[in-house]
This record gives sequence, structure tokens and C-alpha cells, in this order.
Amino acid sequence: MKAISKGLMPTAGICIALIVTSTSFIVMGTGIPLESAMFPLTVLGVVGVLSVVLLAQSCLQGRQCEAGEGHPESLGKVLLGLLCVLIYLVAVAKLGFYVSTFLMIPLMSAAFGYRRWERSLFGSALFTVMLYLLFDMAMGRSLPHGWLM
Amino acid sequence: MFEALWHSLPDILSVSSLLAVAVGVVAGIFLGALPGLSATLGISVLLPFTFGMSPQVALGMMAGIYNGSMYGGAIPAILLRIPGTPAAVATTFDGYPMAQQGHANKALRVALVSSAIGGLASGLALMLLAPPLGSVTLMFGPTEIFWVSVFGILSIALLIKGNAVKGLISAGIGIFVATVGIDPVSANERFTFGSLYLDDGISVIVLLIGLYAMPPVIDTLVNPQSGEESHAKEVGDEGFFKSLVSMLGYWKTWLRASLIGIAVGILPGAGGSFGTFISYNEAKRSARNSEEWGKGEPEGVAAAETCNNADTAASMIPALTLGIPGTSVAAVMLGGFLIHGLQPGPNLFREHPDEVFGFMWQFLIASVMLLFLGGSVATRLFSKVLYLPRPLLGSIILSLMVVGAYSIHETLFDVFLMFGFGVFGYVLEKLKFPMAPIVLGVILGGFMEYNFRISMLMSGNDPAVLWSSAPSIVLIAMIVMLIVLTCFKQRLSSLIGKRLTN
Repeated sequence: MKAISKGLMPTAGICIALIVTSTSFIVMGTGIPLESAMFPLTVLGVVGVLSVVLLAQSCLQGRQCEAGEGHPESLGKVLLGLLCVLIYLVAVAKLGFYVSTFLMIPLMSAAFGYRRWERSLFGSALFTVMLYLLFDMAMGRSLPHGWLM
Repeated sequence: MFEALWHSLPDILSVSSLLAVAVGVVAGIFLGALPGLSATLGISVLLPFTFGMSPQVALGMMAGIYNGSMYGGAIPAILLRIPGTPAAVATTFDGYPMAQQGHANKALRVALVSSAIGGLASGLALMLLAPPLGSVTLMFGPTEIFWVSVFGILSIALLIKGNAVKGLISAGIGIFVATVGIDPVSANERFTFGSLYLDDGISVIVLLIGLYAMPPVIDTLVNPQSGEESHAKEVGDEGFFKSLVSMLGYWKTWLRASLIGIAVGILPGAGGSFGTFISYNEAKRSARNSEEWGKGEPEGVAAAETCNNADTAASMIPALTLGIPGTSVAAVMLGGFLIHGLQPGPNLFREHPDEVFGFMWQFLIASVMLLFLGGSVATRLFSKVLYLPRPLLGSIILSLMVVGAYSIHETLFDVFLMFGFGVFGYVLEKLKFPMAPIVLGVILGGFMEYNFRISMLMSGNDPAVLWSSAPSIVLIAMIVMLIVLTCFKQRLSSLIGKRLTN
């Protein structure tokens, strides 16, 4: 985040993203009958206008203000975290929830610095079995199944 | 109205209801004890587990989590000087010095008893103040409900700490999300991109889990520091009754802190740490030994902990009667009401009296249970939680998030949607956009639109209907006052900022 906050003026970036998104949705919403479209389009219009106001505020206050929005986390670690989460979700869809969760807990813990494998594997197995007993056995609610289970 | 309060009592005393409150209190202490996690995260992650439960049992669990987590926040605040929740910041001022002097156990007991007393006072306030307010709101029609929704969303967006424009943008995003799906009045599809998954709209739980759970999980993974650096290994071992007797002298502090907590809890956007600072300062100001405060004065812990539990049920007073939550946790609680088919707002007392009055009892019961379940064994046990490796903890919470999002409709679409909201929420949080207005926008947005359109249909599209009744005019005046107050507040803070830089 440090890189984002110092170099690219993040508030301005999100304002521009919001302006573009709200405009796109307004264009999309023109195909909806007026009675149903009026309310969401008005809200989108207000969000767009407020984003312009925030963009102007952000530009006027300049980088002094932006520096206050810096964060100690490194962008690389945050992106790694998000990537790990995404890989886990894809694995849940493909391999099934229980197998993916059993593998994810020790692997993700190791990726972020906890490398006591025997403990994390034991904790992971215990947690996965507990979820299985609670959902599949006790509540009869199946969690995602995949190629392996 | 108070007859309904007694009528709801037998259901509340059932085993399932009491068990749900107990489980909620324990889960709440556990979550509150983990720095970075909070009642908001706890309720949002655990909400899907309540799907199979009756609304009353689910509400009991939520009341338990809310009460438990407020006390749980005191454990790391006292042992590690790391507040488990923002509301526990003032607890560190005297709690941590007490722990350093070997009196951690006493500090934890003061925190426990004070939390229970604050919770009881708050629960009583909810019982006494919500029903009369609910009676008044029963007179509201669609137009008044529309204005109440507008006032609720604006008050959270404008009064919440930080930039008001960011608050309004957050609220707008929430309201827009609420409009996705089939239009409830004329059944047209809106922004569904042809996906059947979006026809029913976006589940508030998917949004809650993404917005509130993903940012702390990423932070937990990315910042893997643990509580192992604690200096407070020795917690002391004074008997419970001995310490209870020595606490009786704090009655004035308990009373004052309870009143401050209740008053702050009722005000939208003001709850949490704000109240505990006022309470701590007031108690210190009126203390004879004020120079000892900050060096390990147990009464300082009592002032902070009573207040942060006293705003729990109080923040639910405007939430239940008007649909305006006092704190972000209350906003998430409203989401819980919604998924169990209870629409917060004026009609709640008319349509679901047993559930809403039962919820008030559950808040009181949760405060009493806190005293027993948060005792020395639990406190010692939960203080061990602080030593869990953070990456392991983050991974476990992540899998619970997946379970939560999937359980709603048993579809992976919701899981990926949750991830999308999580990334969006992480970016917004880092840029200091408030999350509570988004949640409230989703909760009240559909309600606001529906009542607006019904008002217009009933009046033959005559906009004059919006200001034709006395309650509507009063509500419009309150909205105008709110906007003027916010402009004044922003102007004042910018002037102070300029003066400080000069």
C-alpha cells in the first residue's frame, strides 16, 4: 500500500474508478424501464457527482493529505495474500472444500511465516474434521465437493 | 407494549435460546480477545451458522457475541496493551500498568464485573426506551418510513468519523447494491447481467463477510506479529469474592459510565471508543486520587469497561425502532435481523413483537451469563488464545468465511462475490471510507425505494405527498439540521486544522 499511497494518489484513483463505474452503470441502466431505473440511476448519479467532489477535494488538498493514508503493509504481501485467497477459492471449486481447506491452512500459514508443519497440519486436520462432522454429519448441509471429495 | 415483553419471556427461557446466548458469549469473548478481530467480524462470519435456527435462537447468539466481544477486547488490552476492540483502548490506560504490577487477574475481574454491569444497564435501557419509541413509530406510513430511512442513512454517513463525502459515497454504493435484482414493485430485472444468481439481489451476508472479515484477515496474514512479547505472564490470583467486595466502592463510576454509554450508544455514529474516553475522563476528573490514574488504578478499568458494554444494547434502540444503528456492530446486527425475515424499523414491533422483545431479554441474560462464563477459568483460557500464530488464525477464519458465504444459497457464486466485496472493502478501508454506511445502505436502500414508490403510487405521483404530514415535516427538518450540523462540523475542523498548521 505504501507504493500506492505515495505514488499514485489512491483517493484520486478510487474516485476516477467510481466515476467510470457509475457512468457505465447509468449507460447500462438506460435499457431498464423508467419506473424501475429511476431510483438506482439517481443514486448512481449522486455517487458520480460525489466522486467528482472528492476528487476535487483530494486534488486541492494535494499530497499532504494523501501521505496520511499510507500504510505499513507492503503492496507485495497484500497482493500475495489476495492471490492466496483466490487460489484457495478456485481450489475449493475444483478439489472440494475439505481437501482444499486441509491443504490451505498449513500452506498459507507457511507462506506468511509460520513453518511449524507438524502443528499446522494437526490443527488443519482437526479443524477440517470438525467442520465435516458439524456440517455434513450433524447439520446435513453439504459444503462444496470437488474432484477429490 | 410492555405486556408483549412478559409474553415473550417463556420462549427466551427455553434450553435452545439459553444455549445460543451462552455459545454467543463464549464466541464473543474469543473473538474480542483477538486483536484485529471484532464483534462486527464475529457476527458477520457466524451469521450464516444461524440459518437453520429459529430467529429467536439466532438473535440470542448475536446478543451473546456482542456482549462477549466487548468484554473480550479487555483481555489483550490488559495483558498486552493491545486493545482487542477499538472500544477497549481506554482500558489499556490502567489495565496494562496493573498487569505489569502483577495484578492482571484483578484487572480482568474488574473488567468482567464492570462489563456485566454496563451490559445490564444497557439491556434495561433497551427495554424501557425502545417500546415507547416503537409505539410512536407505529403511526408512520410509507412516506414517513421513507424519510426515516433517508435520515438513518444520512446520519450514519455524515456523523461517522472522517470525511462526510466518503461517508455519502459509501452509503450510495450500499443503496445501489440493494437495487440489484428483480424490482419488487414492477418485477423488472435490474443490473443482473442475465445471471439467475442475481435475480434475488445480493445477500447482505455475502457483503458483510466480504467487507468486514476480509480486511482483518489480510492484515492478520500480512502482519504476523503475535502476543508472545507479553510481559504479563503472571496474572495474579486474588479470590473472586474478595475482589468483588473491593469493587463495590466503584458504584458511582459504574452508574456514571453506564449513563454515558447509553447516551452515546443511542446517538448514531458516536458509539464505541468515543464513549469510553468520555467515561474515563469524567471518572478521572471526579476521582480524589486522579494523579494515580494511568498508573494502574482499577477504577479506570471499571470506567472504560462499563461504558463500552453500556452502549451495546443502547445502540440497538434507534436500530430496532427506526432502523438507524448507533454503531457499526448494530448495523451488522440489523443485517442479522433482515436475514431472519425481521425488517428493522417502525413495523418491527407490530409484526414481530415476540422476537423483538425476546431479543431485549436475551441482551439482559447475556450480561448475566458474561459474569459466569467470563470468570477466571475462561479468562485464563482466552488469554492463551493470544498466543495463537496469526497466519494460522487468518487461514482458519478465511475457511470460515467460505463456509459462511457458501451456506446462504449453497452456491460458489456467492463465495466469489464475497471475495470481490472483500477486495473492494480492503481498498476502501485503507482509503478511510467508512463501511457502516455501505451496510446500512444495503439494509435500508430497498426499504427506502419501496416506501418512496408506494407513497408516489398512492398519491397518483404527486410529490407533495412527501411533505404533507406533520411527522414528515419534522423528519425533513431533522435531515436539514443534520446537514447543517455536518457542514458546521467540517468547517470548524478545517479551521482548527489551519490554525494548528499556522
